[in-house]
Amino acid sequence: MKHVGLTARMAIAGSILFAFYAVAAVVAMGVFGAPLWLVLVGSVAFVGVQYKLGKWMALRSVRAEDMPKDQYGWIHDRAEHLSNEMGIEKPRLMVARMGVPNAFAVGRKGAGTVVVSEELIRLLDRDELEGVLAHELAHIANRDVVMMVLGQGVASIVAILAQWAVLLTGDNDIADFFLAIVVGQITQMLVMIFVLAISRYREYVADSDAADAIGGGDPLARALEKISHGNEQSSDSRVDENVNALCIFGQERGLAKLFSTHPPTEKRIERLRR
Amino acid sequence: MAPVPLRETLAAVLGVALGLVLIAYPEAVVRVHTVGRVPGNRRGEYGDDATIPDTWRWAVRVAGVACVAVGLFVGIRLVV
Repeated sequence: MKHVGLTARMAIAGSILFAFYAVAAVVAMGVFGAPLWLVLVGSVAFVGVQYKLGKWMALRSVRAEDMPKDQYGWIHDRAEHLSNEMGIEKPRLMVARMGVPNAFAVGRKGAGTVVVSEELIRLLDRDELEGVLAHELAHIANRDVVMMVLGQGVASIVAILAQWAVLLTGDNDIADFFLAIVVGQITQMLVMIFVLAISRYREYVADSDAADAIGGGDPLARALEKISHGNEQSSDSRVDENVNALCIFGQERGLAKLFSTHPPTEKRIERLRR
Repeated sequence: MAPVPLRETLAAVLGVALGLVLIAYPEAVVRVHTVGRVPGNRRGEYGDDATIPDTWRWAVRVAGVACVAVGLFVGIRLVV
């Protein structure tokens, strides 16, 4: 088995998420009298709409366009090669002007899309960009996008049901309305702590798969270093620091760490170079 | 001694607590609602958590202040 650690952690986290969902389903059937088939069909439809809408919104929000083969032929070639290596279909490649060096993957195996920003292409050397591409392809190969949509779907369903359960068992007083909203939000946060822990771990796994595919972790580590150094030096970053200074607590400390989608860049670089 | 009304007490305590979280960690709160719906890193830089626009940050904080205010209102109503 390729990632025993990932499989074990996914089994534990998946069981916890399923337990949350099972409780929510029982509440839906008990409080609202909904039949099991309706709960299941409703859940699948809810997650399906989130998946479709999320992909469409992501591509639209950055105004991504298909990556022209005549201009970026070597990126297409590398993506083709890496996809074969990972045993997936080559995803659709798109390019966008995002204002920052960035790349992300949406969709699933067989219907994936990787978007790369023009700024990232300009900033990185070819081998570094290949590392980034491999990392994004690994997300598609490992079904990470689908996993996150499922996690968010479970969190949202559990939160909505918790909210309605509080509302329907109260006296329609202002305190009941308020408690329902608060319980919904807190429930969503609690479930998402598990989903985000999965997300952080899957980043390490995607790094490891990318390193395997390109024959070493150094190019991706250099890419991460370049981007984080650029971030420290850029004027945009100074604006961000000013904004962050207004925060009561730093965004990467305390509670904020629990709600982070990515592990610290330094830790990723360290693992890639091990 | 009259029994403490559980739901009102919960509304006051949890409301104020949630409000403080919204004020202190607006980015985390937005992330909780956007992860899995849109790729988390499409706004920020590669390898980092997404940054959120200032308008969102302040909107969440305003919601946090409102939450604290309603929580305190419910709490004061309990005591008075």
